[in-house]
Amino acid sequence: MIARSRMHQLFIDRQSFPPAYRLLKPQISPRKRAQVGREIWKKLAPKLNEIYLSPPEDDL
Amino acid sequence: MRARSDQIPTRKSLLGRLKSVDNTESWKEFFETYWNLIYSTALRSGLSDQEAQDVVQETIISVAKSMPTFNYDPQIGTFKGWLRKVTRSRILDHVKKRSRDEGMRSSEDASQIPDESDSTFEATWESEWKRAIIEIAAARTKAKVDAKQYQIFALSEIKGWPVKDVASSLGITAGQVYLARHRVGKIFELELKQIDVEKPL
Repeated sequence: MIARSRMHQLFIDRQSFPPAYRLLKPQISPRKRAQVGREIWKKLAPKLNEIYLSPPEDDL
Repeated sequence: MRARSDQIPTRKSLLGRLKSVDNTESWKEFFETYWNLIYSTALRSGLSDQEAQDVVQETIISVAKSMPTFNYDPQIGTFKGWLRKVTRSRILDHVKKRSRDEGMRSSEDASQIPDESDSTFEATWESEWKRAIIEIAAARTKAKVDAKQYQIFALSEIKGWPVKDVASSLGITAGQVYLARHRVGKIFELELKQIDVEKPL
């Protein structure tokens, strides 16, 4: 009886979960996404370094 | 072992650290937090994979160039709103470039470019932003709970498998599925609330 009551409570709690979970379904596979991220970062990192290594405009 | 939440700083502290020169680790963290949001928004705005990748680079470079003089003041505007504007501008650059390349007339160019109040772009950004927050909450939750418990939660709640399929695949009872879903779900809920408190993500 206690177990049934507990399950009932869980069911009620379940109803309050946000439906937003389903938004997690990715547009591309996680593996492909990770690969895309790595490729972009590989190109971006040197450009960021360049920005920070450039002298301020006042010094030019 | 430190909790994952301790390892992910608030967005505000991250923005503060980006101001220091040559902070590669912070930029990597900024990139990992936001690149997929920018990339997905660009794709959903009709750009190709390559164009979307370029938009990610150009948006983050724009942020980097603005950072030395950037002062975050939530009273003036949110970081989220600012990043949306920067992303949108870079997407529009590609829409214009594509139009030029295709030799379209200027009047047709203008009709393809949504105005500043474009509700479609706003809705796309909002849904991708929400996805980003959920993914961060999921990553934090995963780091805090038992791997098996998270697996049950992920299959049931994220992948949407029916309870009986999760139970039979993992060799557990339906009750165990409900219990894991409840326990992990509570932690997930707390993480979502925590991220909300950490505004201005």
